[in-house]
Amino acid sequence: MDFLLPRLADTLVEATVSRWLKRTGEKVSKGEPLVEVETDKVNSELEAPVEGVLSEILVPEGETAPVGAVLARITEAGEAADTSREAKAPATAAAARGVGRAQSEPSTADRGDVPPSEGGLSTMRRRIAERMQEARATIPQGACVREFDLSKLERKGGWTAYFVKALAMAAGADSIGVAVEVPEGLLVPVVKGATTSSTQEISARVGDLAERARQNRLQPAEVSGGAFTVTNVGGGGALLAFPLVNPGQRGILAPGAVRSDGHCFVTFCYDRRAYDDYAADRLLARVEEELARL
Amino acid sequence: MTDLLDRIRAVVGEANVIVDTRLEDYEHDGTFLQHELTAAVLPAGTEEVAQVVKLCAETRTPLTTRGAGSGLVGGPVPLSGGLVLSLERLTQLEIDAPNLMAVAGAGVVNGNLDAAAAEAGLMYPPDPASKEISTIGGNVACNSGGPHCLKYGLTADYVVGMTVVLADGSVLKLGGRIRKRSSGYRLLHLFIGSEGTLGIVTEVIVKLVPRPRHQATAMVGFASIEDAAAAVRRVLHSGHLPAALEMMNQEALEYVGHFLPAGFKPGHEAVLIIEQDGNDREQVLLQLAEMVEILDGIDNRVAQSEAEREGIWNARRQFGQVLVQLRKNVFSEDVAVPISMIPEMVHRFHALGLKHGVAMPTVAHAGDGNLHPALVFDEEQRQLVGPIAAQIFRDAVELGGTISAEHGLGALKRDFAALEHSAEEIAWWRRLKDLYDPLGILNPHKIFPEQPADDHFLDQQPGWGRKLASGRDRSEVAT
Repeated sequence: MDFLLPRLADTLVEATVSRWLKRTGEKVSKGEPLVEVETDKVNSELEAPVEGVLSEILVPEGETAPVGAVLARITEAGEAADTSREAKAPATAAAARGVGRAQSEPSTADRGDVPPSEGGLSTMRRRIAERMQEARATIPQGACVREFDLSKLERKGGWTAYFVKALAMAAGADSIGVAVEVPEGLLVPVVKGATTSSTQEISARVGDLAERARQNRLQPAEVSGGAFTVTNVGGGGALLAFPLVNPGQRGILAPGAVRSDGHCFVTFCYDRRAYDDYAADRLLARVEEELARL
Repeated sequence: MTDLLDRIRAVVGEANVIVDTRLEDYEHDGTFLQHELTAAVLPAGTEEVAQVVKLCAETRTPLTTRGAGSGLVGGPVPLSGGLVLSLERLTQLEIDAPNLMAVAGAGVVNGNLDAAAAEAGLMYPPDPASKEISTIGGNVACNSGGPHCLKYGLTADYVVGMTVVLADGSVLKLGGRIRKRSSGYRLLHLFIGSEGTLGIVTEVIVKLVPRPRHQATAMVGFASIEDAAAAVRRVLHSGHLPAALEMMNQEALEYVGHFLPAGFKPGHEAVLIIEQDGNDREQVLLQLAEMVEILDGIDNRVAQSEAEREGIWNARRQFGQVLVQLRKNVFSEDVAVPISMIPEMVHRFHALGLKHGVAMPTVAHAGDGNLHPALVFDEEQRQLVGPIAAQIFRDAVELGGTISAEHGLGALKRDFAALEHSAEEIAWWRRLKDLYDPLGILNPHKIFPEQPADDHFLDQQPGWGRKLASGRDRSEVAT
């Protein structure tokens, strides 16, 4: 059977094969990791859908293929060698090569112009650049800053979970992305069920998502669906930052470093189509109120 | 996420935690407002409610309590997401005839309570137009009224005891089966009209009254709203207390005139529906005839049979339903003004409607000064609704009235609370809220102002302008 590149996430258009975990001719069992692919958001292992023998690899390591492309062929256990395969193979191989070209010439229609100097970037870096350009070009962004007094908050664990919970309560949003720095760039896994989880539970979930983000073990569903992002720029000591709103989201909350007096600056950058300046500031004020109750 | 739901499932049972497509039913109320949620929880009784609230307090999970979802200000719409706690299963009902009391679970439908009381020759008078669907818990949350409140009073006048689950999951029992009490603070009144923001009322003890055996009803036509309003004042100063005194303007009659019994002419500028009740049929009819004479309209018809009487009330009650079925959008209001200001208020509606080219059929509990103008608008007129509604609020307050007589503030009117209540008063509300719900988990984003009280107040409300498959939006329909 043909082994196709699945649509790992709603917005996914292509993925790069980073490593084949099986060689041609090797036996595979159903559910066994077969290939590692890298997308703009996440690195994933794809599992073999059936038991059989990996009979042919059509997209070699380092090449990029669109969703739906045939990555490889598996001769299923008990299946006779497919005699018609040779006849079809050239066309498919050509398609796969076509895909390779698409990678070096990104379509300006979907992704905007990327400076040629970025040609050597990893898929993730390249897609981040594209998404940020898209965010800058298509989202009318606004920003507001408040100084929060967090001196009375009895905190257990990191600040991020507190901001996630307070934002979830203030905005009525159940899924909130959390920016995580990884060696190849920045990932935004999404904490789901934020409204119905305690800060301790959120903290544990953030820790788990961050850990797996660093190990390239996030599932595609875990990086989609957030209404907002929290990016804890204060973790590194920054007092203020003005991050760009992720496309498809309403805003991004950036708490700065908590100073020795227990105060910190918190920036909320937002899509002006979702909030006007005053509404955004009221939401930010509401986040502070919710934090005071945690 | 699943952890909390699993713990809740262990309390209320798997089948009573709804997370599938049925969740949509819990996203909205009788208005256009809508917000998604994680799960709807259907506890079986006070003890289960208490355990669920305790789990929510531990996880700081927002909790929006819901009765029948017939509210008209977005009260049960879960604006913070989280859980909706539906009390629909709390339907135990006891009629304590010797004491003229009823003990009702929050999920008992108002009409069922009254029907059970009727079997004992008793009556539960507060009768919102939604009485056949709305629950006693929802009525308590909004301090509901109805046509017969002129004579008999509001929900708050009947609640003498309650069981309430507080925000930490503790259970407080207040009051008892007695009609008079002058010992200590009337804490239970704090929860009446609090729209689920201070605690969760799971059971109430309500007073019942002897049920009058006979009613007589008439419809009286007038050449102008002033004449009708003057007639209201006249009859209330004549020593008579009608059981109901309702007003409809001509535009409203155009919508419901066809429900009237044969011979009842709808072609008047205004009509009053007047009712008397009592035990002696002759006496009741005589009193009604006297009142009709005092009203002194240009046309009057006394219902000659129970069927005709029902026909008059049906026309009045159908008003909300007819609006729902229109191929237009409807936005309806619930202001009250001092009785003497009714003509002025109706004039202002009329002028507003003319100025903006929007029809504004109006029904009113005239004896209470409570007016329900309904804005009927086409899609291209949508941007006019905010400015018109805001002006109605400002006019009502300017005339010494309230922006909500019986629906509550919920989400829809919360931003205008400061128009009617002083900053000092709202600061005391805030202290109460912080005292009873320090974690802020009970029905968030309700009652307290959040956005500017201006002409654009509807624009930030989730669901405003959202289309239904039928082509019209979910709109508010009051009665």
